Amino acid sequence: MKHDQVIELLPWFLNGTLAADEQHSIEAHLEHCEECGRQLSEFRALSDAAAELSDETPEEPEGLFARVLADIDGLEAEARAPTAATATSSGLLTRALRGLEAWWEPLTRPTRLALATQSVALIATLGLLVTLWSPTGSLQTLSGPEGVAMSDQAHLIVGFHDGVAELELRELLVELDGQIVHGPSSIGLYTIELSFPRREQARLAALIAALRERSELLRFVEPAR
Amino acid sequence: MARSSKTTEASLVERTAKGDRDAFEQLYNIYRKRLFGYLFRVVGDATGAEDLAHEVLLEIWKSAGRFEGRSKVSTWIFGIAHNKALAALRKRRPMVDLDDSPEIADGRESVERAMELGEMKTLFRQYLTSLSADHREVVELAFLQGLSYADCAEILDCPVATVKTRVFYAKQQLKNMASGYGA
Repeated sequence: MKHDQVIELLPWFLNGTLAADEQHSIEAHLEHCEECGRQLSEFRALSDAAAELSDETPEEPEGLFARVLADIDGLEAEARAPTAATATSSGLLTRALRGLEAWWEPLTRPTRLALATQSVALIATLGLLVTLWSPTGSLQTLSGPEGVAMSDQAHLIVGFHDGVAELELRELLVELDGQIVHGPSSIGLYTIELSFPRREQARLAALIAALRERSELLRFVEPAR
Repeated sequence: MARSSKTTEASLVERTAKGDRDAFEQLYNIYRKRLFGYLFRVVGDATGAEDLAHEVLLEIWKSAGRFEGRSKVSTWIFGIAHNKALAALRKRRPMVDLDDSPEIADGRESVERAMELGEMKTLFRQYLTSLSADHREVVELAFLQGLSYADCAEILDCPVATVKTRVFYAKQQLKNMASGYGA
């Protein structure tokens, strides 16, 4: 081992974390190198000084862990809230998903692929039709799709990550008990009409919070106003 | 023995990921002193260290499920602590990377003549808190946490060569301060 390499490794020679071969090489080098012996003494002085300073470190404050647990309680309560809000639809949802699975599972792989491709094409065509149908050519904002009559139902604007399968998109629609009423927009956003009225703001907020947790699927979730 | 301790800590993280608060508390008890001491010495004040310890613990709870066991639990925890401390220090003041700073004068000659090693330790201790956060942190990880250079590099998210240089420069900086050359 070269002289410079030995100097670089001295701190770890001191803390005893070097591999055995490195440790032995340094021991051998130290036997005849005065400079490295001096460097080792200096690193030892640094190590001792740091250790003395650490003795002056105050104890961690009392109640820290309890405060962290209280925060965790808060986080878990937030996570549970949307479950309650969507409880009504979840039974229906599970049944619908099971039905979909029962229908989907027996299909052969080529048939699934063909169906998925056709569905994607159909959704894209519908999206294009809705876009072309728009009476105005103005810039679309995230506050809601222009040119589409918004009913009194609650609406969401969502964006999926690239590569999300069409089946996942359909599953989400079943889960939300919603339907796409607009999209994809030029930036790939969909407007989804939900099964409950717009006035149920708390329910909508809880649903949005739950959807934002699903960051593996969705890159954007906002209410449509 | 070391392997057994590693396995135990990894299983505590695994249980924490499943929402087991007893396991989380055991993990906290293993690291509480080291973690708070590390944060205190890096950011330099107890209130800041307390806030950061709170953030680190919450992050451990939230991200335990993403711990894959490829690194040691200590490396993972100090990696989280390092990132939180770095973010806090960046908010306080612009970071200066002293690895890129002008050449540090080597005060060896005068210091060696002027100080016995006992004196050197006392002077080092006096000036340690004046080191940059980068240098304090690497001294902390190598000498107080007793981590390998590979673990230090993983925590600091920098090449091993940088870690080695940084410890050496920390010592040089202290020598220069002690001999009146440094800031």
